[in-house]
Amino acid sequence: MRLKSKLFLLFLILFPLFIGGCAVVQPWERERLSDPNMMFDENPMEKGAQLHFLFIREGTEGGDGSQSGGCGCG
Amino acid sequence: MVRKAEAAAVANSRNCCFLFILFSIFAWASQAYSQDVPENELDARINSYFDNFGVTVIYPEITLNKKLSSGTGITARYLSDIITAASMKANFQVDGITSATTKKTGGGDNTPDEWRHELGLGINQKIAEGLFSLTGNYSIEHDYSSKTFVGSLTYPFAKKNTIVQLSFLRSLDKVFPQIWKWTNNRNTSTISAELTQILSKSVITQIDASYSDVEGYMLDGYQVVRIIVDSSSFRTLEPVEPESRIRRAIGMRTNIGLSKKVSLQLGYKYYWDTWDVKSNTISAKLSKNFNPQFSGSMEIRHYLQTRAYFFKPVYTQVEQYMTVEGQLNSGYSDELVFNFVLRGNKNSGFLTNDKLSLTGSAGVYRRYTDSPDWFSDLQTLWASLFSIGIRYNF
Repeated sequence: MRLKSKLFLLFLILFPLFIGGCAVVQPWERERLSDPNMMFDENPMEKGAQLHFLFIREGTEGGDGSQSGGCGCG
Repeated sequence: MVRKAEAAAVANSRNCCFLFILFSIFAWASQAYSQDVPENELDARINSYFDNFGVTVIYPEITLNKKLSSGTGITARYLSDIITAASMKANFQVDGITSATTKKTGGGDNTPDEWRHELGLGINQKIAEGLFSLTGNYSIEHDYSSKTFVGSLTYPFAKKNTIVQLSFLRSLDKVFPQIWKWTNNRNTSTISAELTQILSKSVITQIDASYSDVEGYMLDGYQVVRIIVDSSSFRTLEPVEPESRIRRAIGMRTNIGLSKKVSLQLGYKYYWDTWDVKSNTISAKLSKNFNPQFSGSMEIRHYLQTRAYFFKPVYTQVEQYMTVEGQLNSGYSDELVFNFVLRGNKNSGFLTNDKLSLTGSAGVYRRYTDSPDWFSDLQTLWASLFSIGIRYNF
């Protein structure tokens, strides 16, 4: 099986576990998740600058995610 | 040798434009904190890059987020990308055409050698529990322009334990190098899907998949390929690359709260494209809140890449596709970055405005390629990165 197929299979296996295998965390239980350190890309400018310099030198793109956090307090 | 090194700087600095525009816009356009309209905030930052290929990049940027109502917000951004490389004053011959500038602005005899301006405007609109964002961006420099539109929809599920984001990007670029009279187009369409999932009270993870279709002229118009005829002579020709490239990536990141003050983020990304470039990236980021005002983080990243199917360290005959781009060579890279955030506090002696934060970073980057750079004969590039900025909530 080719590497691409293996990765896709792994993704298919993990995806349902990812969605269904975790307990619902209530909003009042998210104190730790609301910490800025727990956010992905809390500072978008910082991420943009890092990507800028990396992609000058490397031949890939995508898969870097976006800003998101677990607070859910909006 | 010096001239070769300078040439590398030209190629590398000019190559950055296309990718940077796309990624910086993606990073900016997806800044909506999950499904919420961004709060009123003014961010300003100065970033810098210096490497041993002789390239210096300084780029200041400023972003404004303004909430018009509880469900609507606008965002605006301006950045300037200032590149200095002595290389741009060098002459390179390709079939009798030299790189001496024929235009009056940018490159050639000017300093800085490139100056790119980018302006972006966006709107964020709450739709039920979700958020719709639309961003337009325009970038211009003396030999390149780009118009980009990004739309994204972010929606929470399962009591906001699951957040799904779908994005679409369309970019229309024009390449008009100083040494040629033609203008070529390059169009990009990218779709991406992202899933953020809370796994427990202190673990959150994110999966991101993207698919990008790039059509048109992929080169920058300044590079040359040497065809080695024998040990003492060579010809120089323009590189030729395929005019279509499908690029795909899947990434996964997990943030783990190790304690009340310390968190660890682990990441992995796999990338593959129709030019046979494949890469694996692993990263780890350790963050700590030293006190309510000061937090810092250390990030390490390792990257491993294969080369494009048409990339060769040396060409001995004219081939259908030929390139000298270091980004298409095989190799690896490592990065180490330190970041800090200092939040204002009325009782602090230094930063007394509690709406203001000072941010900064310093890092070092090393890239190794499996064959020497065509221009510089170097296999290892070293770069240092510094940034400093402020964030003001109003």
